[in-house]
Amino acid sequence: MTLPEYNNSVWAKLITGKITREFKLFAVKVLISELRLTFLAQPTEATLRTCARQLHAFFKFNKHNPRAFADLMKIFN
Amino acid sequence: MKTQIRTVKQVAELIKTGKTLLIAGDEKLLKQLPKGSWIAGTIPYLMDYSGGIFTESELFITELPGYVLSTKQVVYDDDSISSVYSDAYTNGFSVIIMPSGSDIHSSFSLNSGKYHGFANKPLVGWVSGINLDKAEYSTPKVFDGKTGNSFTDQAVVLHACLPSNKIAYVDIINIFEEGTGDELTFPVDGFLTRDVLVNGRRKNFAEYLEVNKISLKQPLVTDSFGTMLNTSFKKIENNKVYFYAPVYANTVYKIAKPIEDYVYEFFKQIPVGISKKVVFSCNCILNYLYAELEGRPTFSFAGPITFGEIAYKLLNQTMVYLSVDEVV
Repeated sequence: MTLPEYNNSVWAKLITGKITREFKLFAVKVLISELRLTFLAQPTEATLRTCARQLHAFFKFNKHNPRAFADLMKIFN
Repeated sequence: MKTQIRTVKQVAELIKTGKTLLIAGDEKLLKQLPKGSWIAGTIPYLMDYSGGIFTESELFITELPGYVLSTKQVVYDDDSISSVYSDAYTNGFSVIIMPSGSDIHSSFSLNSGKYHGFANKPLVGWVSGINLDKAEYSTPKVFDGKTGNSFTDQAVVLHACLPSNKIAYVDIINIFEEGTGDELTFPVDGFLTRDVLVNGRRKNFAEYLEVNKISLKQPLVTDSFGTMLNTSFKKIENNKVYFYAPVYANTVYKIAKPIEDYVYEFFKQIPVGISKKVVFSCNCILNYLYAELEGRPTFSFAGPITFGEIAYKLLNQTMVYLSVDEVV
């Protein structure tokens, strides 16, 4: 699976809580929780874009991590 | 996991042979160790396979596995701690120890989620403490073995590099789950609060806890995508409620369900076959005290009993562990 771009709307929906998933990797759970707090503290489009970039960067960095890949599949399938 | 309780002399010999160690123990023992590849924190409470142990005469060591390619030790202050993920190896893990009650403890717990690259690389660790019976005479410390220096206001980190066929994971075991009671939220982030919003209605939190006869042994719990994260109560003083980790605004908490048998609940949650993969683990002093772990087996895990556990962020009343898997 190719990693969707950071501007794919699914990243933002995860951060705003419009969609939710049961994740396997603890790091993913903690990261999305933190990004959600960041967004709620300042709920602007700019904050959402920054948070979406950060989440995308996590999956890009962890592209060879089997548990991260499993979570990525859950997000986009 | 290669862990052992050893005398100062035995630990010193291991250091001299070039072993990389994570050490927990009494300050006066740590001061006697030679310089080398180790970091340490003060704590007299330990968790051995045979059960919880209190000792001020021996040290607890976790030896890093032989497959670790290289390590580096870094001392961080309030200004530099935000680069902890940038400094970590591309493939590896980092173990952090920070002193309880220090500025860096407070700063890390409030800001760790904002660090560049947060959670991109495995970060695990613990908050050092003291003998609770000697609280007024001692201060939690951390040690950097590279220099032998100790610190009361800085964090020490051991960054470890793994070969490409290994990968590290941070996980937790939390025996608490949300109770069925009120939804609690807080007006601001912080280690203390006067007010709470109970199902949206503002009340004094100390009075709420008293009226509802809530035990301070039951932490606040929030659901993080199916994983429960705790914030433990420290004390109630002058109508304010103090916590061991910050509560956050915009987060919904519930009081945890009471636990009847702590050890049984831990046992139920241990993943099958995990013990051979665990490199490091630690458990909370509150679990040690409330579960009366002294002399009771903790199954597959051994490590320091802590004044706070770190799995990317500060946690409470939780067992944290780092495991290393083969990459297929």
